[in-house]
Amino acid sequence: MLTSRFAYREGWGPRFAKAYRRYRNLRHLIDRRMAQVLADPYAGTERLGKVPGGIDLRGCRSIRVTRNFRIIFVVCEECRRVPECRFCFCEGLSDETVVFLTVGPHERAYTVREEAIEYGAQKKVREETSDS
Amino acid sequence: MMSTVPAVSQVAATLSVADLEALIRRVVREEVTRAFEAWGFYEEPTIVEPGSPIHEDLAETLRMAEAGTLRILSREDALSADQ
Repeated sequence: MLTSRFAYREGWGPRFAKAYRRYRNLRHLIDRRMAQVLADPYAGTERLGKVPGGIDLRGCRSIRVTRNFRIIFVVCEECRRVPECRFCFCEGLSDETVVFLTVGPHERAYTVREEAIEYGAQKKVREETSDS
Repeated sequence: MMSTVPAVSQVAATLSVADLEALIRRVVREEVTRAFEAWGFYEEPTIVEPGSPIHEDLAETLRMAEAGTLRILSREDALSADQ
């Protein structure tokens, strides 16, 4: 049962939960934006669409966390009216539910940087293992 | 009386006019965007680039939905599931 002290209830997708834990240093900003969305998911948010070569995001919305970080979500009352929406996982949920799908960088350049950091960390672990 | 002056290393960079122009344009674009965002005039649109973390998350979410393993959780359940 999803409950809320806001106008809308919240539901968390598994990837959102994972990203929320991952970006611990941005959690205060993410929480603030989530509260804003749950108070009014249409104020200050952006409707997403279909981009050539990308995933069809019709029915989804985003809100800015930082310059490159976005929260992606659907509002059940809205995505139910968009037949093309592939992310309407609202079965059994009330219209006044916001399902948070993910949070993170929306530019590919940041993935490359993260991979480089992870690669560096893995290399260090390998070196330490081989030293011992 | 003699005084010592700390040496400062100097770096010389050679840029072509085209490179310099591109650099100036990029810096101005970023600064103008930042200023406009701070004033609330403008926010950069969300473009989910293929290969970005958000894109990968959404693709994985679709795969989970197709496999029937996707569950929407409450905040408490989502956070306690991984404790």
